[in-house]
Formats: sequence, structure tokens, C-alpha cells
Amino acid sequence: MSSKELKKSFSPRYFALEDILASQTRVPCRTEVAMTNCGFLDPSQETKDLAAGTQVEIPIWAARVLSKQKRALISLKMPKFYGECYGEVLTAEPAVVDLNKMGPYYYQSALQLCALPSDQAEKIAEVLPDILQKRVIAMADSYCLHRNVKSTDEVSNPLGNILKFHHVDPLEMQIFTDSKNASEELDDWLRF
Amino acid sequence: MSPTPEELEFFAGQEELEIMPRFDCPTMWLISGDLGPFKAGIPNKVPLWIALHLRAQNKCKIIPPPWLSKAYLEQLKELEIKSPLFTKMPSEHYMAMAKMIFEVCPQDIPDADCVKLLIKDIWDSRMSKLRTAVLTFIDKGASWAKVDNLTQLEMCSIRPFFTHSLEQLHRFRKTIQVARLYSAGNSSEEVRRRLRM
Repeated sequence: MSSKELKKSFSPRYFALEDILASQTRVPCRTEVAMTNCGFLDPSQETKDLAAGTQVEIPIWAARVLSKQKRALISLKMPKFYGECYGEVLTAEPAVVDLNKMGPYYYQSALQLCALPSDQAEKIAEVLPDILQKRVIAMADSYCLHRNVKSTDEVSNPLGNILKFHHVDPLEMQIFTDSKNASEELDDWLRF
Repeated sequence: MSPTPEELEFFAGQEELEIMPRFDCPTMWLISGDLGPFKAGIPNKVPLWIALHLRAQNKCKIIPPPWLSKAYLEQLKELEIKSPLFTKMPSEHYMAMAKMIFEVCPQDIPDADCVKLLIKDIWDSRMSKLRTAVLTFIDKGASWAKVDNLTQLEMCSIRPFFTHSLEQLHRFRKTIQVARLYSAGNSSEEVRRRLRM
């Protein structure tokens, strides 16, 4: 995402690539009714039909359509990484958690999950701003360091001591690279 | 969108400065204003960009503005370091003006090295105050803050970081509302309608 797009994407946009990729995250659900010819949804099953009550993992975009209230064909559960125990770790020490391990687009998927009808959606949503806040503060000092000056911790980690480079979600990465570029521009201009 | 440092340098060029011309010239009528008649040896006020242009061609001597002197800047630095808030700077564009004057004619300024160092110190102290202020703002999750006496260039330095992170935080906070509406069992059309209100 360019920084202009970062500014505009206030709500999930249909054609934004990041949103499309983020909605690929799989959600575990249980079928409520028998669905004929839908056996392909569950790759481990051999049958052509899906009996009621099978556990399948389907992407968010499919789950959203299939779980509309009027004719709920499936019932949803939140994926593992947004569940209780991970939620506790995240509220305790957000800055050290590896968000990349929890799925390629943690924040974006979480935002999409909150739009699904499920009881845990609210809990996930409430945790999110605090996670982002703490991680942003952790990277706040390092974006303005000059590119040639690096502390020993930073030689392999441009983000400073706490937040590791590889643990960073693409959203945070975008904020970081934008700020770093602007700050380097200012530094270059200031040489006198 | 937001001004880049180069654009701010352009705006800073419009500040007025005194010069001592070495040539004679009657009034020049330019689009943005008139340049009064120049007589060699008599000081004249012109915009900064003209002053530097003439100086580069060696047609005048720049009289440094009163705040660009060692004594004044030392006082200012004391004030800045002591005060927890931002003190009023002598000019909106002090950094840009200082940079441009130093680029073209450092020899016109007495104690040029000291002055450069003092400006750098003032800049650094203001920037560190600004950075801590931004961090406290994000930490407390405050929704507004009033800050006086910040110059444009300093604002430029925190701009993409501060605005983007606050935007994303706002977006997440808005999602809490969305999640609440969804889990209460509303359909997506209802949610969209309610949020638009």
C-alpha cells in the first residue's frame, strides 16, 4: 500500500489487494445443514456431500456469505490465533509477539473477522487498538535514526531493540517505512 | 497533501531580509510586489529569495537578521532548555532561513560556527520535546492536544508517523463499534446504515 492508500483505507475496500488477501484467512466452522455437492470444501473428506455437523475450515469471504443470519448454513468459531490464550499474551506484552506467525495479515484479518456474526468478535475488536498502540510506541524511537548510525542491536534489526523486524505486520511495516522515508528526506535536506 | 521540506524552504524564502546593495537600480515591478529603488550603500528590505539570488551574483551584502546572532541565540537556547513547553521562535521558518543563508554566504554572519551550533542545539532540544510529547499522546490515547509555537519544519518530521498511526488506531477503535453491532445480530445492511448515521 502506498501511503496515499493507507490514508484512504478507513474501512475495508472491496478491491484493495491487502483486504482480498486478508480475507483468505481460514475460519473453523461447523455446518448446520447438510450441503449437497459441497464435499470439496473439506479436502480430507472423500464424499461428494457435506453432512450436517462437520467441521470445515473456510476462508472469511465464504464464511461471511454462508453465515448470514436469515439462513445460517454454518456456525462460526474464531480462528486459533485470535482466541483466548493468544489474546492474553497480546494484552500482556504486545511488543514482543511475532505477528507474522499468526497469519500474513493479522490486523486486516482481525478487522474482517469482527464483521462476522460471532460472540467473540467484540473481544477481538477491543484488544486490537491496544496492541497496535503499544507496538507503535515500541517502534517510535527507531524510525528517525539516521541510516548510517546503528546501535549494535540494530545491525540486523532496523526497528530497534524490542520490536523485531520479522515480527512486524504489513500494516506496521507500512507506517514504519513511510515515516523512515520522510525522516530521511528531512535529514538529507537539513545537511548544512 | 503535506508540505515537503523543499516546499517549506520555498515558503521560507518569502521572509523579509535586509541587504546592502552594491549597485543602483530603479524600482522593479514584480508580480508578487515591488522591489524598491536600490542605491549602493543604502540598506534595503527584500524577500529572502531575492537577497540570496543577488548575493550569489555578488551584487549585495546580506545583513543578518537580529535573531541570527550568537548572543540572542544563546539566550534563546537557555529559555528553550529550561522550559518544558515550546518557546516562541523569532521566525516561523528559522531553520529554513538559517540553512539557506548558511548555504550561500556564511561569511556574512559573525561567529558563523557558533551560530550554526546554537541553532542545531535549539533544534535538537525542540525535537526531543516533540518526540516525547508524541509518544505520551499515543500512549495515553488522547484525542486532542494543544501545542503552541511549533514551526512547520518540526511538524514535518513527525508527520507521516503520527498521522498514520493515529488513523489506524482510530480505524481499529471504530471496528469495536462495528463488532458490537454485528454480534448483536444485525445484518450487514443494518450495520452499514447505523454507522452512516
